[in-house]
Amino acid sequence: MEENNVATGSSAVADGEVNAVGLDIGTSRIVMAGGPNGHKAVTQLNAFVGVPYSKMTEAILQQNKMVFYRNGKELFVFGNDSERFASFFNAVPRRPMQYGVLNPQEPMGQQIIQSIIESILPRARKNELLSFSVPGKGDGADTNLVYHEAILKNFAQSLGYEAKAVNEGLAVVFAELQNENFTGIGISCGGGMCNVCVAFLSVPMLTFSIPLGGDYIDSSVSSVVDEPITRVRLIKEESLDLSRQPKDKVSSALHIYYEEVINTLVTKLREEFENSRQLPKLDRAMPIVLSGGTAKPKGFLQKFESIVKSGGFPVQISDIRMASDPLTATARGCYIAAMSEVR
Amino acid sequence: MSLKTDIIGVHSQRSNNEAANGRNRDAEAGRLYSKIVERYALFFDRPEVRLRFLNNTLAKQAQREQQLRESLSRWRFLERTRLYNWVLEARLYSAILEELRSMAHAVPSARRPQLQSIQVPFSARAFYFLYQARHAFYAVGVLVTGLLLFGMYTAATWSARHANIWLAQRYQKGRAPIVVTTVGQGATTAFAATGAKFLPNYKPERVWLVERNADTERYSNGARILTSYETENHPRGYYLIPRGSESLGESLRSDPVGIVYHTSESDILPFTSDNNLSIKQRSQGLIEYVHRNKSYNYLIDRYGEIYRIVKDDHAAHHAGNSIWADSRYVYVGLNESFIGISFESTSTAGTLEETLTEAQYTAGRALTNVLRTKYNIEDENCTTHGLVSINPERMLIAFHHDWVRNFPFEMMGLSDKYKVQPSTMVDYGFTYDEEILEKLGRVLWPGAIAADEEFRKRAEIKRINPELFRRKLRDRYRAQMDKARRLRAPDEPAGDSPLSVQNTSEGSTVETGVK
Repeated sequence: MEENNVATGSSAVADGEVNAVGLDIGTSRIVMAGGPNGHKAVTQLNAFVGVPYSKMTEAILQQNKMVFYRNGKELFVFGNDSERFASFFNAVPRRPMQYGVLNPQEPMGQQIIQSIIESILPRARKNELLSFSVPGKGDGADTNLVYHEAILKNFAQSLGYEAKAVNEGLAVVFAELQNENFTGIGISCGGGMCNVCVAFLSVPMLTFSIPLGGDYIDSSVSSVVDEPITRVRLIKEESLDLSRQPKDKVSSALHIYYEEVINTLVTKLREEFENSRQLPKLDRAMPIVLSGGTAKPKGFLQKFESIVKSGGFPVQISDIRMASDPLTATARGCYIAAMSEVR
Repeated sequence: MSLKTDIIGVHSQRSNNEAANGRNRDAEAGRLYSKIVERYALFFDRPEVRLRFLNNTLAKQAQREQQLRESLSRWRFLERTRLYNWVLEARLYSAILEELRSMAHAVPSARRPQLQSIQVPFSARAFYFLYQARHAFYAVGVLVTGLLLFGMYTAATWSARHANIWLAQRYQKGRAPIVVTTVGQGATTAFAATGAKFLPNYKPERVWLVERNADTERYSNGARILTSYETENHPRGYYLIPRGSESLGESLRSDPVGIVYHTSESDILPFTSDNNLSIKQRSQGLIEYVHRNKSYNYLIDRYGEIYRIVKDDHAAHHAGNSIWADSRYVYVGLNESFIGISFESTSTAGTLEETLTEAQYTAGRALTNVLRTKYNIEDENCTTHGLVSINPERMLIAFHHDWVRNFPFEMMGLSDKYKVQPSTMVDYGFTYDEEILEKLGRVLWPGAIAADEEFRKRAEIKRINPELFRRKLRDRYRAQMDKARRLRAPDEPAGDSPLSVQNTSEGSTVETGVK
């Protein structure tokens, strides 16, 4: 379990007064922001590895203090330990979620995700508020969204929280656009999808998602260069620099697919702006904030900026910036949403 | 959400036409509201507090705009006026002030002084004040409504009372006098005006005594008279005074010539079966009281039982200073000449409305017929205490008010004496004053109104001032009364007679016993 210290602005609130939690339930990671002013963030990989049950395997897991879940004749190692365990056994971790929602192909998905959430959340106090992120509407995913939101809400309520869903892009706006009075465009590029929200004074005017994200890039690159996904992911997370020319074929493929994702995202954003009648006439430029693990590689911001500028944009953009901490921005935004409801 | 988007200038719910008409205006207003809200949001540093402020303010404003729209749904044109925008803006400021106040603790201490000195339009402050003081306004509203209702009620009752008084005065002041005429009588004839012949063909059937035992007499018409409380007072004795003459009385008589009806004006209970015992106890108390004071010749209780209190041939203390006349004679001091029958009853509080039970009606009629048959009493001499009672010192009528109206003459088989011009007024010049009018609810019975007019005509015919005429007649009455009193106590001075009437220093009279 990783713990980060995250700044969320000035605070005069003492420890122990906080009674809200923000939870980013992403395809690849689940991030909890809580503690005084959401300073504390706890992250778990939203993945698991299953192995046949044996007493010896169970003993090894216990000796290594790994978090696991036993279901009959199978053992499931989940969360951050799943990555270590997968590399140890040379296995590919499985995902309880796909394209931002619960993975219908994965029978153990709900139990695993529930176990991860339980391991990450502190014990709920009476009527403690929890805001969790949900993706925006995408092509044909609306029914799944309803189901996804309802199941996660039930999980949270069964743990004693008063749960409320927040759009992932809006959460990014809450976390990063306070100085603009929550007016601007929040984009969260996650493992399964990219979520976008155009907000005006905290009111979401436009939300949508595209089913392209880190997983799409990884699998596409893996298939074209014939490298294992884990290696592609490792290169992506450790050495990819989108502002420089690619040096090898993996980097080159990553450049291509990153560009495709950003292009698709910006094109869709333009279309939505042009088709929407919901937007107020703005008399000032709006900022764009990028967040999420997929937006982390060096040069992502510049690439995104150049694509936006190259094709023009229906609204004036004041600046395009990266979130202060792209991995926890959504969770912090959820935390702010939950805190705003606390009386 | 759609409400909030409305506020910031997006009107998704409206029809195309409406949207087309108002889009620009709404967008402008939305931009204005957004700017105002944003300006105040900057007071809050903490993101969750700022978010809460924005959300709450926009939600409130959206709700208020919605309410305003709904309340103006029939006057849509107002939405295009500056007043509408002004009200909305003021309400927005009011919402902002409410939120600022509720979240003031979250404003950094360094900025609190700025918060105190925010420049807010007066209209917004007014709205805010109205909102804060709304409970006080509600209370005042309830109070004002209550006072209004009370005022309306008071005004209505006051108007009704004064209208009543005005009508009464109008009819009494001779503008539209009630003229009482009787068959075959000339209006200025002294005697003709007093005849009571409203039931000319009615004669009570002949009644006879069926049986008598130790304490009961039973008559052929069903009347049953209880005699266990029968007592003696003094034998009757009175002079017959020919009507219209100045005689003080010549021939002496001792037989009862008429009946005066009274009410006991005693405490009574609601006439219901569960009050049986109490009703009987009160009746018993009353009987003992009138027996002790020899107040009436007869008492009829609420169950219709007839008690003889003072023997028929003895006078009871029932009528005091009183005058009545038939077509031939005038009777002064009716204790001696008239039989007193009292009904156990009392008037409704503040009114002169008496209530009799069914049994009392039946018993009253039966007893009337027994007495009329027994003593050959004429219908014209059956009257009520209120019609005969006088105040001789002040020459006023209706000194006592029992049955001054509403006596059921017809049910007793008698003609209506309220239409008869009373001898007190016609022959003796007795009159009424404001005090009496007030007591009678400013309504005189028709006979009295006609008699008043008649007296004035007589004074006019005699060419004498009515007041002088009145004084002369009063002296005649006093002389007749003195003579009557001397009949009872020949050796005593006139004012100290042992009759039922005692003179008081104020000149009014007080009768012993109950009425």
